[in-house]
Amino acid sequence: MNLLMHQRDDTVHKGIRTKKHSLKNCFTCHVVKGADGQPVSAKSPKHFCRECHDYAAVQIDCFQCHSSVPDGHKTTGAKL
Amino acid sequence: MSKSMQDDAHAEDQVDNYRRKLLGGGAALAGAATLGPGVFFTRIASAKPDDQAASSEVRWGFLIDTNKCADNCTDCVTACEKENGWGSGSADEQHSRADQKAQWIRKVTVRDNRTQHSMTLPMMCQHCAEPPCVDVCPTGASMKRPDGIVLVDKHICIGCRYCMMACPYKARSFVHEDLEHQKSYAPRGKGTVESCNLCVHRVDRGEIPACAEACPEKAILFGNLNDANSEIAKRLASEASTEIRGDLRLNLGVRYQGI
Repeated sequence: MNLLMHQRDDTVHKGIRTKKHSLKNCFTCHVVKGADGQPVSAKSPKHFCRECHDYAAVQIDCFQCHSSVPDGHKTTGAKL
Repeated sequence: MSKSMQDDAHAEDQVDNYRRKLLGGGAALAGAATLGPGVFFTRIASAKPDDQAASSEVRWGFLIDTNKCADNCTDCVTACEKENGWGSGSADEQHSRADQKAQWIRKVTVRDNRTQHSMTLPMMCQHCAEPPCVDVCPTGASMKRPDGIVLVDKHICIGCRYCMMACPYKARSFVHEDLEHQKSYAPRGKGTVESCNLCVHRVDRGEIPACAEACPEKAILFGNLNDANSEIAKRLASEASTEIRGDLRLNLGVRYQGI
């Protein structure tokens, strides 16, 4: 999380866009897919960020602005 | 636009993304790179490596020729909407009134009342060197990058809208409602202010902003104002151009011709 916060300032203020600690890069590996093969959004408790955040009862603010699924995907409409 | 047409456009986007990735690791290609028969991407000569910070030796800007800007054409606006996911480029913002909705770029019609001569021009954030929005921001969210791009760090924006009041160009918008379908490279959300960011995500990977790419008349020229060899600097040196509200002495990054 600290790395994400650090990277976010480097990216927005300086334009450093290395992939290593970028939020976008998290999704390429950790994305969870629903029954129809489409990724689940942060609305779903199955979303990989929420797995821990829900357990620790810490609200995620990131997805009020950031997309919680990779680009070019529709979120799953299937029941989980 | 019908559903199937939208899907087709969507599929094309995915192909483009795939090709961009395939091109890979920000190899600095000057001019227009040819990727295959009939496929061109316009790139700017000075693409910055991902791990390097934006430099103050560069100053990005636009030169907009209003003589070429067609009256009924809104391609630049549509391209911006699609690229950054606002207006018609997003299914969100259903509850806001038209005057509340985000407007990163708009077409403005100007008429001389005496002669009845009218013309249109695209209006967006003018990327001032001395931006009033940055002066007034209480949190430092409204900021100018070293390369002259003025943008909002939404992580620290508290949504006070002081910058909207300070901007002489009415360039900033406030997001009034929850959004869901943002683009991964253009985050935007309720309670924050936003505006044209000169397609900073595209510029950082060496591409030109979406509006400049979309203009069918090539009326919007993007480039580095500080590079004497760039097309924009050469044209600025040889042709007349004006700043809108130049009397404010804000040293704008966007200049117009024919107004």
